[in-house]
Amino acid sequence: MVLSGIQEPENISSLDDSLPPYFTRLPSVTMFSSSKTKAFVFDQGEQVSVLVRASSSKAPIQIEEVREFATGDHVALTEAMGELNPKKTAGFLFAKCGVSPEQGFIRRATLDPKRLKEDNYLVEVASSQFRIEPDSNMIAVLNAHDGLSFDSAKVTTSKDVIFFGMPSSVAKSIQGSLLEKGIFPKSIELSSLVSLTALVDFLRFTASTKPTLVLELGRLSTQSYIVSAKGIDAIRPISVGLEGMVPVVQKELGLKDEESARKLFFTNTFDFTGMGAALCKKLLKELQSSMGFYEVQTGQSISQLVCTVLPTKLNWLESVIAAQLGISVLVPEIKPWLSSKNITLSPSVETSGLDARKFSALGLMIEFSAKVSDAGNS
Amino acid sequence: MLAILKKVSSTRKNELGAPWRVDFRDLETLPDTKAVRTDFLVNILLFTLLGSLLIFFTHREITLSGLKDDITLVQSQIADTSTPNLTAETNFRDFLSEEKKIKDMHAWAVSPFSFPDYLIHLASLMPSGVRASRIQYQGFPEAILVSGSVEGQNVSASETASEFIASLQQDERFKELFASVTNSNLGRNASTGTLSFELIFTFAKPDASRGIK
Repeated sequence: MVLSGIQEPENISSLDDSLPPYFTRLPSVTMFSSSKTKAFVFDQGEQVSVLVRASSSKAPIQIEEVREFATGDHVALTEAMGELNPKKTAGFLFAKCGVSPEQGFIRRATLDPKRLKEDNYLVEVASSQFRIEPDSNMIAVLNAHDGLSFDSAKVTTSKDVIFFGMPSSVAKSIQGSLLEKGIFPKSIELSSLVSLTALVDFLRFTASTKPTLVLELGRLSTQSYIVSAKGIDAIRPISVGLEGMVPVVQKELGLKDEESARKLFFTNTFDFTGMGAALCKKLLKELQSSMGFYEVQTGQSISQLVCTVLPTKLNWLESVIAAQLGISVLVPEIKPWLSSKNITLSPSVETSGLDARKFSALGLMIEFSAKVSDAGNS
Repeated sequence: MLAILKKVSSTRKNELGAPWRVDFRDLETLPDTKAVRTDFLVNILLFTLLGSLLIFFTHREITLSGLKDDITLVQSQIADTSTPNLTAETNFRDFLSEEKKIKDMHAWAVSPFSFPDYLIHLASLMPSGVRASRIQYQGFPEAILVSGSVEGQNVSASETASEFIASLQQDERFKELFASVTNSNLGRNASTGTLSFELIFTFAKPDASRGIK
């Protein structure tokens, strides 16, 4: 269900829905176009952006090229676009886009079945429970387990839903920014949700029954999710980000100013593993609280962690946090999972580069199933 | 801002939409990148149609103009040749008339028919009681009408008339001269107590193959 701001039809059926709905693919035009049109995916993360070129928009797909560069590095982006798509159509690179705006939000709620028929119930939940004003935000509501558009009239509809979106002004600004870069968005999705969906799909593929803690470690805040093969089980934003660790670094190392500490911290020129527990103290406290709540509620214990948003140079944080929480790090084997989706990698694509941070880029290429019962069978 | 909580038929929507997919684009502000506009194609189609029609009508007009020129030429030829044509037509009519005369003359000249001989022979074939009241010779090769009567009105008079007509029809000389001998009128005349008849001797067609010598 569209709560506000998103134009209908907002659902994207598959990667090949390359043109906006108002585009008419005329037979004459199709006739002259290449039967094998390359497909592009551009995932603009908070820290890292990924541009992927695939052989086709529909399975079977071969991932031909993957380029990774720092978000905001326009030169690198232009170079990557030139290399991957020398022949631009109408001056644009047409790509499915994933974005991670700071103001983006994903929230989970369990709705009151008695109030579902009330017209303003969802609006009330969004504004009172999450402090998200529908008037100024684009908000969509999906079922937390199958990802289908929430329909209050449907009897079988799950009462667990996900509210997600971004401010309308941000969405417009992002779209404008993409166009300025020469990228024509075939769709704009929230990277975080795509990433979580891909991870759920991955857990279903591996027939994993383990609830997994997913962290998006941003500069100012951290998003924590608990997902399983059944879907997205819990979401909690934590107002502790990487920047919050800088004063700890300064204090622990006895540095004069915070800027030096920040530089040292983000460039990874010093081994911080030893002070990991101190750095993540606040974060760990919040995470332990979330995990404890989840385990009490569901009776299931969280046994693995994966960080889908984390600067490469801070990779060590993942194992530190996992160790502090007493859980393992999920190292996903991407290749077999992609094979099950009829997606292969060209020899030029390094498998080692496809880690959990690429879930959002890869997820943009996959047609997800709504069936929860697919777990382990896909 | 859009209306809050639109009542969407999600059953239908879910069938169409893929799960977990929501597009945040603002379609209205996206640039139009279509390489070939529908309007352009429609215009091309219309212009092609218009061009075809123009070519078709121009071709028709040119053909029509050519035909008009031909008609004028032919009409002028007709006008030029009308006087000689009329002369030729008159001459031809005169020729046909003259030809008929010549043919009749020829037929008379070559005909074996002799009216006096015919009368003598007819008289020889007439049984007693049969009388010819009028013999009208219309000229060769038309016919000869013979009106007459048989005395009596009984059956024997009728038989006499029939036998007489039969004898005329079977006569070898008449067969050579006449194609047929028919009785056109047979009736009783109470005032005279006779059975009247009217015979038509139709000449056989002259043999054209013989030509005019």
